[in-house]
Parts: sequence; structure tokens; C-alpha cells
Amino acid sequence: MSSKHLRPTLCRLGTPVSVLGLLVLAGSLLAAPPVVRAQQAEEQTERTGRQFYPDDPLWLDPDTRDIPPVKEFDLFQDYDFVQNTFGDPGGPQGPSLDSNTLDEVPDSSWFTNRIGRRVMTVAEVVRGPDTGNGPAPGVWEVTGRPSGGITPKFTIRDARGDTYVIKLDPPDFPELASSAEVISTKIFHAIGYHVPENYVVNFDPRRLEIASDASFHARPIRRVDLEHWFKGQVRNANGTIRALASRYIRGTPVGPYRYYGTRTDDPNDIISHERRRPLRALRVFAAWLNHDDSKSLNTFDAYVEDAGRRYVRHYLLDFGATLGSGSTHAKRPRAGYEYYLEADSILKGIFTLGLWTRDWSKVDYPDYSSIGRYEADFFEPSKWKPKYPNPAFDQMNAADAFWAARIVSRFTDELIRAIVAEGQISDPEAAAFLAEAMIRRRDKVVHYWISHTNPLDRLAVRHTANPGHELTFDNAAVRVGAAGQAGRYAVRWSALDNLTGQTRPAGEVVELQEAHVRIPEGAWGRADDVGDRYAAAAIQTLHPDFPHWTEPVLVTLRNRRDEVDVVGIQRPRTQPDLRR
Amino acid sequence: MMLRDMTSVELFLTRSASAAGTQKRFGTCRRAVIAPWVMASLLWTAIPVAVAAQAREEEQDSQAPTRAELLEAAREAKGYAVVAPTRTSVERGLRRFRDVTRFAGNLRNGWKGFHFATGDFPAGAGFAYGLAFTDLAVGSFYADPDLPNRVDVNAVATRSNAGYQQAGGELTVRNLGGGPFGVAVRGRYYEFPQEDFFGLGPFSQEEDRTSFLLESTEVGSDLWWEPTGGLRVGGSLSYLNPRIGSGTDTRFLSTEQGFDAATLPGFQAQPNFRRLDGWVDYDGRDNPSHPRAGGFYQIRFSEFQELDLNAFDFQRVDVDLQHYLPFSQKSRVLVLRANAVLTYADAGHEVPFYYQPTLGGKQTLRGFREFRFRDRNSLLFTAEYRWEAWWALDPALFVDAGKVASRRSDLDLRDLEVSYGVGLRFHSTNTFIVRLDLAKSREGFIPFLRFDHVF
Repeated sequence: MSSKHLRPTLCRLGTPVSVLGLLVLAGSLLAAPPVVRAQQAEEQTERTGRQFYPDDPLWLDPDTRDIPPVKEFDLFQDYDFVQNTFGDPGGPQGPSLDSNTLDEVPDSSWFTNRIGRRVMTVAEVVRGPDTGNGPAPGVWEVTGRPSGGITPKFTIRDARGDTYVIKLDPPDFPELASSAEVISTKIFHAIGYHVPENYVVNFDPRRLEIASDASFHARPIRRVDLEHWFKGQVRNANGTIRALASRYIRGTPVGPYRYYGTRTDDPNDIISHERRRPLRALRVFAAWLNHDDSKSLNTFDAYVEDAGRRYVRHYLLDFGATLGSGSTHAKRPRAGYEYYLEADSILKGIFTLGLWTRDWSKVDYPDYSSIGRYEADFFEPSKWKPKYPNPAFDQMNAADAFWAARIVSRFTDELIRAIVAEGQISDPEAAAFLAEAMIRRRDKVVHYWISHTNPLDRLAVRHTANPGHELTFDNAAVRVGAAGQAGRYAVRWSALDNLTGQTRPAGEVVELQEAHVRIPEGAWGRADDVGDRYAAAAIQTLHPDFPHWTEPVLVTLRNRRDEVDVVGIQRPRTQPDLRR
Repeated sequence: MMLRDMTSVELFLTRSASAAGTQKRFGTCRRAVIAPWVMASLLWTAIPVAVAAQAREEEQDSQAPTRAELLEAAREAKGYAVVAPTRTSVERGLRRFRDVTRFAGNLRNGWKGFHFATGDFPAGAGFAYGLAFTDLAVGSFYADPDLPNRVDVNAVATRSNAGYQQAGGELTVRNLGGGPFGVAVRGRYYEFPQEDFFGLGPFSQEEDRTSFLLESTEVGSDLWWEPTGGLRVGGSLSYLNPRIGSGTDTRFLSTEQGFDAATLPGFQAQPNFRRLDGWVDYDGRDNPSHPRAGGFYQIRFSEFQELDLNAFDFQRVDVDLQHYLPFSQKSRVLVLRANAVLTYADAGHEVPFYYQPTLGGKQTLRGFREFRFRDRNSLLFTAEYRWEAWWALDPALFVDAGKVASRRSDLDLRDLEVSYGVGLRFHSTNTFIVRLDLAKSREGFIPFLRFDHVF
């Protein structure tokens, strides 16, 4: 049985057997030196069935097939909280199912590879999803006042006929929510999520006209309503009010999506959401940006038409409660540190008569009203939590987190400062603080999650002068500064029969100082039905400071008419120790 | 991983095999409602057929399948089995609960100012119900607290299952002339038929509990000035015509049966009163709904001028001092309260027993029954330690100590009645919601469930 199948099998057998099995396994592994453990693990591999298809690795998941219209299905916030707090709606733990054979995420209706896969210019990142410059100048027609969410807002139709939601900043915290929303929008877009166009705007209330059919609480909106909404809002010197303009997402709204299961009326949606890497690894991004409001209610499905096809596209939205913003106030001190409801903390709080205090309650935040509560000193990536449990976050494994951390590492200091500038925070000191905190949190996130698993990446094949090929790779942890030295590597080669999944050891374990190794001729398995041959390498990283790096990265090479490339990468999928 | 490890069949079966209900024929938009078992049969049949067809095509083409084709097949198969999303029974139940809550909220919020009211009766009144009318900031859509000359109108009529009833109204004008002044006129009739009376003085006995009827019509006017944040100075003039009668609580004797009515000041002779009040208070609490710091300090002087018998003129001074001592960034609070009520009556005059201060109950000596101690003067101390166990819950330990006395000189710290207990205070981030207290005294345990704070 292969190691990748071990966990699900044990889960099926039940917890006691699982624990016993894991103890036996751990004992046997600990009794042997690392290199031998890798060898044993590889020899235990009994892959069955076809391993790779001719079109692997897939970089485009064709989940944008034309489908019939789907109906709107709303979610009930209270139920979402109850279900995720008291239940465990996600399926059994397992690897993400939407990554390709290179352990990357293909483009899909959920995710588009951007900064993680290609170089993005600063201009491209700060432009983000924007297709224009926001609402057109001229008269804005007030069309309604949405009731969802907690942010004071209303909808307008601009001179071009485009509809926007205008979200007001909290009066005591001018610029707070609008800057947070714009900054996070740019980042989530660059990461690869579908997000709405969000703009900081300064509008003149006198420029607002009320549409004849505009209503609010089943009555017409009147001028006095506008005056009430804007009462207390901080005004600019010219009388304008700063706000956020969020453009309506194109397509037909069909409701938010859940972080588990599939949408039963969407034929394209065949992967349980808790097994989708972009949703699982959102935990890493959300921790960086303190997006503790990352719940189903802040997602959005739109039935869109694109290139003649109609399908459901999946969005993240409502980033007003990111960074130090709580949308209508500064972030609560508990944000990111404790779920709404944690029985053990409550009981501890009750029975210690207040002598036990939460360590996060002592964090001292700088007094910037436009920043709120956001800092980097106390923040620990592994301990970060959303407002209440998220089944996809709970299933994030080391491979998911590694994937996310590598994306986060692509945001340079310069890029982060440029993105923060898009928030148009008027206090330069506050803006500088925010950028610095984001940079330091980025470093913490990247260092923690990249070094949390065997950090080999940039796996490639190159021709050598000596006839043949060699496999090259890099140590991401060293590259990002999470580890001081690379250590050594141990490689165990096997020949892979692609049609059966059977492997045959090819030679002894090779120990390396350098990050490249020659591919032995004997490592190629028999040709499959399309004539391709495959070789597999299990690569351990031997580092005294990171003993868990001995869990190997499994790399599969394909020889297609003497063109050799990397076709498979399987990283350790251990479940990180996340506090729930 | 699906895009690397699993066949299309496997991946499709991971979740959607349980689909049943409304089927949509993928590609044609034709919709038909069929029984779940038929749906399941179709599902289990469609998949092998799709896979077999796939295999035949592969055989004919002599080509290996591609990953994209397998994904396509899986999606095609699900297209035969799409069903409308459904809600669990728990979600449906929660939605119903929300609807009920909204309905109750609508009752409370009412229609065009009319709304359901629960009354503001003394403890022990039972379940109360009634109708009220409220219009805050008359003529304006929003009750803007800063609106000059804001006019508020309140009217209420309520009754309880124990026979308590009241009706009244109030007209208030705030921000007079745009300044920090307010004026109100009010009138109320009430009838409380089961007010508890245990006797006068500190040595009254619990087993002597009786009940009496307190009925009164009160009309008056208030004027106040708010010179600076938190400070208020005010005065009022009222007319009172209290009437005392037999209690209706069948569990206990009526007061005149349990006590010698002739010895109870004001029980038999029942005059009318003119009442003059002057008061100063300062509210320095950080959040009056659920304070964690600051304090509230009030002193009120009242003169009761009896209008008929020249036997019940008296003055009353109420001092109430509340202070909140926060520590550990307000996660812990020590709440201290001192309250004293002193009455002064000239020679030949008495203080009617129903205007005398009382101790006991939800806001004073919590381990004793409501109105348990009554006399011309009272003294009360409370210390309550609250700590934040959760963002929405503060447990509390408290101790109350106090006494009543006929003479002011007897208001010392000797022989104080003591009660103590534990409590839970539930709140949102800024607003107090409900408290549960369990208080203990020499007379036993008393639990409270209250929607108002201790003080």
C-alpha cells in the first residue's frame, strides 16, 4: 500500500485502529535511519492502475463547460456558524483533489494562476481586477440599500449604467475599511482568486440623485435617508465623502458557495470544496491578511457567459474586514486568534476567575485609526484562526500550505508597498506601518509554511554533456531565508510502470551535497500504451534543524521520445498541527 | 488528487453519488421530478455506461484516454444527476426560529408606532402584556439624538396575569432651542395589587410576608440641563394620589390582616402629595449598557408635601454611587456601589410605608426577596467582580450588604444583612443582554434571570 493511501484506510478503520497503526508505523520508522526509511517507504509502494495520462500535467481544468442556468441558493449565516462550529461538515481528510500531477493548481472557474506562475509587473498587480477607473463622473443614481452584511452601504448606477455598491467607512475610523478592502482585493486577485472590482472613491453627496424606484425597507428612499446615512461621516475639505465602490459582478448571482461539498445543481462542480486547494490554502493567505471573516457568506457564485459558454464562476468578496479593519470598527482583539465559540477557553475563563487571560488580549496595537488592529510581532501563522471553523481550512495539509506560501513569497516588499499605496491612506506614517507589518507577516507566513515540509521545488530536467539527463531542484526554504543552509539530499530511484503503478527499485540510495542528480538509465520503466516511459525519485532533505524534511518528495519523470520532463511531484501531505 | 490520482468515476463518486431528487437533463435543460430511488438507479447506471462508452471509444481510437476526457466524462455524468440544492432539517429549523424572532421583533417594533409592550412592573407581577405607542423625533424619519427641539411621544397600557395594570404617557422635548435642555410632561395611573410587605424595620420576618394594593395616579413635569458631557442637573414637579388597599395574592394574608394597619403609616390615612425633586448626576461610564470603566454618581433630593392631612410631610435624599475599576485591559472589573436613602420628617409627621426605601431583590440584597426589608432609611453596599470568560460572557462573584433603620443614626456597619452569589452576564460586544444570578443569604437561595443590569 502506498503511503498516500495509508491515511484514508486508517481513517476508515476507525480512530483506535488508526492510532495503533500510526504508533506501529512511527515505531518502525523511528527505528531506522532516514535514508533507509525512505527506501522502505518506496518499497512499500504498490501503486495500482494508470498513474499518468498523456495530457498530464493539466494546466486548465475544463470546468467552464456550458451548463443550463442554475437557480440562486442563499445560505443562512446562523446555520453556517452553527454547522461549522458544532458539526464537521467536511468529508474525510485527504489530499486536495484539484491539483495537477505537478502539485500545482490548474486554471479553473475557481482560480487563475497569476503571480504564483508568472512574473507580474507592479502596474499589473495594482490594477488587479479593475477594468476601468470606477464609477463614471457625473450624477450617481441611488438605486437601493442592500440589507446584507454590517457595513453601511447603498447601491448606485453611474452615468454609464454600471451598478456599484458604495460602502461607507466607519465614522470613527475614516479610510479603515475602504483601504483594507482595496488592498486585499489587489492581493487576492494577484494570488489568483476571482474578485470584484473595488475602488476608493470620493463622492459629493450633492451629486446623488434618487432613482424613482429606489426603495429601502419596503419604502421609497428619500433625501432625508441620504442625510442620515452620511451623518457623522468624515468629509474631505471639498465636502466629498470617501467610500469604497464595489462594482457589481457580471452575471447572474446564484448565491454563495460552501467550503465543503459540491453544488448539486452545477455539473461542473465535481470536486468537494474542502478538497479544493485554493479554498484550503486560503487559510494561509487569510492569515497573512487577517481575513478572519473568510466564511461562506463572503463568497459569491455568478452564472456567467464567457466565450459562448455559460457556467458558474466562483468569487471571493467583501474584504472590508481584513487587515486591521472590522468593517464597522477596528478589528476586535480576538480576531485571528480565537473562534467565536471555543468551549475550552470559555471554561478556562470561567473557572480561573479571570486569573487566566488570553495572551492575545495583551497585544499592544499602534494608534492609527486608518489601520485598526493589525500587527506582526505577536502573529503566528500556525495559530491564526477565522471567526469560526472552516472545513476547507481544517483540511489544509502541508502540501497545500507549501503551495500557498510559495505564492505569498512572490509578493516583494516593493509590490506590497505599491499595493498599500492603492489604499490611499492619507497618513503616510500609518501607511508605512501597514506595509511594514504586511511585509513582516509575509515573512512569517512564508518561513513557517515553506519550512513545514520538505521544501524542494523548481524541479526540472536538464541535458548533461555526458549523454543523459539530470534532475535539478532547489531548496525553497533556503531561498526564502527560512533555513540557513541547504543540508544534504538522499535520492532513491525507481522504475515506474505507468499502466500498473508498480515500481521497481533502481540502484542504491544516492546522497548529494548539490541540488542535482543524474537520472540513471535503469530508472526508466517499461513503455506504456503511448510509448512513454517513467522514472520515479524519492528525494529526502537531510537537515539537522528540520528532521521532518526526511519525508521524501516523490518526483516522476517522463521520457517521451527522448524528451524528458518532470510530470509528477508529490509532496508530503502531513496534516499540520493547527489549533482548532 | 483528482487531477492526478483518480479516475473520473472515482472522483464523481466522491460526492455526488448521493444526489437524488430533481433531475436535470444536462444539455437540454429539460427538467423532471422523479423519485429518489429512480434517481439513484439512473446515477449508478449512467456512470458505468459513460465509462464503458469512454472505454469503447478509447479502444476504437487505440489511444490512451486523457485526463481532460475523464474529467469531461465525470461532468457529463453529473449532468445527468443534477439536483437542486437542499437544506438540512437543522437549517430549516434555524430559519423558522429566525422567522419567529423577526415576527416577535416586528411585534415589538410595531406598526406606525404602535407596538407590543411588556410593561414595567415591580418584581412578582407575572407575565405582562399590553400595547404601546412610541414616536421618537416626531416628524422626522430618524431619531437623531442631536435634533433640535426633538419631540418624543410615548404611551403605554399594560396588564399582567397577576392583575397589575398601568396606563400612561409622556411627551418629551429634547435639545430645546438647540441647547442642552430638555423638558417632559408625564402622567400615569397604576394598580399593583400584590406588593409584598414583610413588616417594618431590620427585624422583620420572612414568614410574615403579606401583600397589599398600591394604586396611584401621578402627573408631573421634568426639566433638565446637560451643561457638559455626562453631567445632568434637573428638577421635577409631580402630583401623586396613592391609594392603599387589600392585597390579592392568595398565597399570603393581606397586609391589614397580618399587621396592625393602625401602626403602618399611611395605610389607613391616605392623602395626596405634591412632590418636588432636584437632582444632579454624572455618568462617566464607558458604556452605560455594559460598563467596564468609569462611574455613575447621583444625588437626588425630594420633598413630599402632603396636601390633605398635614401628617405626612417629609423629605427624602437618595445617594447612589457606582464605580467601575477595570484592570487587565478591562477584561476584569471590580464594581463598587454605595447607596443610601435617608428620609426626614418633621415632628408629628410620618413617612408613609409605601414611600419608604426597601432592600432585597434583583438590584439590592439579591439573596433576599424583593422588598424584604423596609424602613425610613436604608444603606446598601455592593461589590461585584466580573471577568471576561468569553467575548460574550462575564461571570461574576458578588456580595451585597445592607440594612434598613428607622433612625438615621442606626445606619452603621453593624448587623448588616449579607447576601452573596455568582452570576453570568451575557452581552454582545457593546450591549448587555441578560444576566443569571444565584444569590444566597441566611434565608436561602434565590435565582434571577434578568434582562437589566444589576444597577
